[in-house]
Amino acid sequence: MAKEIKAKMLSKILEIKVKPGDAVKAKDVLLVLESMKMKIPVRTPVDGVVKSIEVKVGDTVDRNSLLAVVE
Amino acid sequence: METLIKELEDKKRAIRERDAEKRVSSQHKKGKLTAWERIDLLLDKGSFSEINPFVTSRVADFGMDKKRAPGDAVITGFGRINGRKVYLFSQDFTSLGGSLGEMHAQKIVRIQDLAMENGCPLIQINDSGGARIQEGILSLNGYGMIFRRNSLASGIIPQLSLILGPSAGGAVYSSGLSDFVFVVRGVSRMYITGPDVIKRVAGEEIGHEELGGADVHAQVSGVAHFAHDTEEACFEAVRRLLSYLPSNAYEAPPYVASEQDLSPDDEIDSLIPIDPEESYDVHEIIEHVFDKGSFLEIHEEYAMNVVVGLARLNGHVVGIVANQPEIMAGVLDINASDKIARFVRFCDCFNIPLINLIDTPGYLPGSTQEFEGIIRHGAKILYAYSEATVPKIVLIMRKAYGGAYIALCSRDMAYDRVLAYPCADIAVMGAEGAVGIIFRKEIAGADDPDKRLGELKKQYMEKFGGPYLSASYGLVDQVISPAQTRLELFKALDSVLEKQVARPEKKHGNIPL
Repeated sequence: MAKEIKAKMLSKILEIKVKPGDAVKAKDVLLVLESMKMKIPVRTPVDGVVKSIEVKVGDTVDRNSLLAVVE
Repeated sequence: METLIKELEDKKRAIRERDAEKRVSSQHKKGKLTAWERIDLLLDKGSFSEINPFVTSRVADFGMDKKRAPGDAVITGFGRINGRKVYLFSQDFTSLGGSLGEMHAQKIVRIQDLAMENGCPLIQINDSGGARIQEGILSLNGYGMIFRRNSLASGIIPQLSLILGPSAGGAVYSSGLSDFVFVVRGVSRMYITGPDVIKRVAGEEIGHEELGGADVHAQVSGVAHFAHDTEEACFEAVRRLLSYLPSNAYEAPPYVASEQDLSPDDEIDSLIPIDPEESYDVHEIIEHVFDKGSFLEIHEEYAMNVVVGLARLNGHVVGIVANQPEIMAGVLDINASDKIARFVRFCDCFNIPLINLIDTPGYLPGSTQEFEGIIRHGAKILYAYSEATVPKIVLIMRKAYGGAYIALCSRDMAYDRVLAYPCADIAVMGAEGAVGIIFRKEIAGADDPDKRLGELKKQYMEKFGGPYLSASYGLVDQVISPAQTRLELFKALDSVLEKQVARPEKKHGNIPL
């Protein structure tokens, strides 16, 4: 089942650590965001393969914006 | 006499074995255990004593006199968990859909009264279609009696609700009033109005699981405190939770001698990044500081920017409130405020000392939070800590700014001990924000504003950053090295365990809700 990974708050995309097709394990870091002047790692809650990355470095995203899909 | 005894045994057997095969398979087909299986799995083996098994409904309207179920669709009684007494009821969905009628309610009320009078935890196993329509207003009256007792028992005995089937309409409020709600994925369904009504009234199409399944309440609504994949895991969690709780508000929580020493743990030194922009998982700190494997997280998947739960420190039960820098930078928002305040008040009711592990940039800015009432929700944290008379200890690990500092760390909330790491940063706000306000004109007028901001920030950090200025005001009691955390927190706890606080008598306060 595809797992949608969403932003928890207003954030800027600092770094993208994976690309579509990469195999990931639960708790692996997919992207790094900046919010409240802190670097916040976004981890996948499930094992799987990165299906898509929906943002690029420098983007500003709102709460609940889709960041990536892991399948 | 012999005949009478035989008659009694036959009656009892008839009640328990009535259509047993059909009823067991109807539950199992839905992926659920039966009301009896649940009791057997939850309690110590053979410890259950049933009360009122012969009770049946008195209502005869709509042909209900032909459908009487012995016990009126609920099993009530008492038993033991890890040797300690509990009262419980388990609704039987296979009898009249577990629906709540007059006598069903009276059986529950009886158990509630007994639990409260005897100072024992109450466990409510819900699996019910809701009010028994055929019994009309008598059924509603029953709910009213139950809710009132849930409210009156609050703060006297721990009340745990297990949602192991549907719990819809007014029925959900008995769980809503409980201290802890347990849900099981694929089994629990909790809502005020179900999908059919929502479709009719609002035209919205939504499934049972999406509307009121376990994940909804564990992750989104915050109604549930614990979610599990199986009923067996849920019962194990109930037994574990009770091992941290006193049976009532007049007892101390159970002490279990620790086999672990208090020697320094150098690994903690490297767990907290000095760079304030770097985050970390506060669970790692908790694992290192408290008795190994003792942390029982509550609301694990809800408002994850704060971590709360029960643990043991050198054998003593404590309630932990910890900011989680890795989620939303550890800010306090509305949901985190509700989560903290509810937990703190529970711990205070049941004599569980509180330990705060602080690293938060403060309350979350934004119009959404303001419009939804962060002021009244955030105020709950202040209220809960001010009100709490249990031992309260703070460890400022890194950031403690503004309102979050006042609520979670300040001497004024009557914390018994405020400890800080050398990397603690205690201030009205982060250095950049503060300098930006204090030196607004100077920065704007500088040849290179960014450079000037950087210089002023550095000067500000040197003068006001760190824990020592606060320590010089007496607002931080001691600065400790991270490796010594376990020992220092225990010494602080040990020194205030017998704390007594006198307060003027009042009816009750008016916590902002």
